[in-house]
Amino acid sequence: MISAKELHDLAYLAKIRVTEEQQAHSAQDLEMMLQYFGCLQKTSFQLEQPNFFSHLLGRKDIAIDLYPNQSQIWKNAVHTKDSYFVVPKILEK
Amino acid sequence: MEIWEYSATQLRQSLDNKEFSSQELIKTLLQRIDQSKLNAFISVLDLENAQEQAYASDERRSKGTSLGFWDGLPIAVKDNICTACLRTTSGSKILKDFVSPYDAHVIEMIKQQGGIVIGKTNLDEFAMGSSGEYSYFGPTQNPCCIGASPGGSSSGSAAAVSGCLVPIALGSDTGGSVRQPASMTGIFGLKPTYGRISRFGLVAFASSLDQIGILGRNIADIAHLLEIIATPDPRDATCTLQKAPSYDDFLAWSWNGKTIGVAENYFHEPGIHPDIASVCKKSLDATHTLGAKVVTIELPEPGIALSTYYVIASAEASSNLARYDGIRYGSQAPLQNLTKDESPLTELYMQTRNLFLGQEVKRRILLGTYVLCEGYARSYYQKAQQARQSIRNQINTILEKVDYIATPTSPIPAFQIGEKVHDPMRMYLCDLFTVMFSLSGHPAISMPIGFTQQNAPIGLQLIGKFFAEKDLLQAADSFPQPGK
Repeated sequence: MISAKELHDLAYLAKIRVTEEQQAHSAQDLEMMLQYFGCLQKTSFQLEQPNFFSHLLGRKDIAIDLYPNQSQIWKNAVHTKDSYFVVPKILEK
Repeated sequence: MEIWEYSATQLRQSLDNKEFSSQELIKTLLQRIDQSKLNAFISVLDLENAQEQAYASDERRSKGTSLGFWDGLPIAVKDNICTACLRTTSGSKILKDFVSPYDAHVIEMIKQQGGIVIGKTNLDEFAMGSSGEYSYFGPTQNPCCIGASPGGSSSGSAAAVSGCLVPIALGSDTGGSVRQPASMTGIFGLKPTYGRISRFGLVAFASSLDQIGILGRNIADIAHLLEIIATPDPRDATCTLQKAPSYDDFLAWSWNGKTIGVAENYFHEPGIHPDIASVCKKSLDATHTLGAKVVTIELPEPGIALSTYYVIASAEASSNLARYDGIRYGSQAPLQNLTKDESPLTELYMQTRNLFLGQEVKRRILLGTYVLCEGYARSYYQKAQQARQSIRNQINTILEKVDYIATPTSPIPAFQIGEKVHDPMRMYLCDLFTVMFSLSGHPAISMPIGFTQQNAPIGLQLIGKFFAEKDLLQAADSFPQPGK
């Protein structure tokens, strides 16, 4: 069972607000999914190093100038300063 | 045959033969899109801009300086692929006004060839869904079945191609989002090998699984588009340097001597529609007459693959979507009702995400956060990583013995809008047969092979070896299909 406190802590970590009315429904959804995923715990798998991307050819670790025309990138910004976007202040202290 | 029913290949020939101009073609399709009730598009190119591009293409053709196969042809693009000319919403309220400052790699490639991105197609919010119903912009209709969903998450791309609003469209496939809607709308849907197409400019959902795919009404069109978009790109570290197959290299091909591995238990899974099981089997039997051999194989349990997929995809989504907080990305909620418990910044994040993210996205972020939490990560996330490796190994071993693996694409045909939207597990089960090959990274294609007794399209999924897209496309092209 996922408790109300557990759900509250989880929502806080995820930066999502779960209202009191939504709590029961959200907990029920999560429990239903976790119950289904329980088959993973019941199965044993070989412990080996994952190599999900071994089919990809190795690429040399070379720095490439991807944006030779940096001015193109800044042209969409409303304000720039020293190659940085300048954004408006959002929160007051 | 009407102009909108033409395949891209037929349109190319007609343009070259001067039967009509690109301007006429684009104008006709824009009118058709405007009159359509499918809700397949979120944004459409304005007529003036479209006509300008089409005119330039017509001029090039008349001067003999055409940029290639796609010059002057329309292509629809899923709205989670960045375009500088049209907004990129990802089907979400939080990005409803977002215009990308750059084009995705695939869009750059299309434009280099003179292709015209005619519009951005509807999708489940952030590509999380299997029906198109989780879009902020409303559900897409299935052109084949009135009132039904076209599947998802590339719902708009599938509906636009199947409903003849465009000849071809790009989608994205994380767990089946190209293949499943292709199956439910009676068209082809290719998910290439993980790493075949650059994801630069694709809005990230689950980065170890995301792939850009293609939906089309025939294989030649898909092959032509794959050839130009699957080019090396240093901006995506997973993008291969291998050259994509050229359609010009497609030679006479035969099923004779080829082997197809089939897992018998997949046809008896609880919940599989009986018509899907029988039509898939009949279609596979028909390959015998073409000289192919169907052999029985043992694939991993689909339930294990589905669990593995949803644990990994949700975990990655919770991380990838952390950026949509109203400051780094996306719309911002007006800060109100400050409490003493939270800092204003945390309040802003929470109010923004609460206001602008949809229910399914929040559900998956919560799930992903849960499986990554200390105390649960070992039993869910780490276990899922082990399962993924095991699945990949098993499929690799099978593909050393057979040329292809075949499964039904979806266990169920197109279902009514609203039927599953409130039951996440029932919705997730739509991906039962597709997620496995997203986890393994192998290329897979859904092919239309017939219909249920209620006339809903049925798709068969064919899986090939890593980077064997050419072989896979040729096999799909020669597969027994209705009316062929």
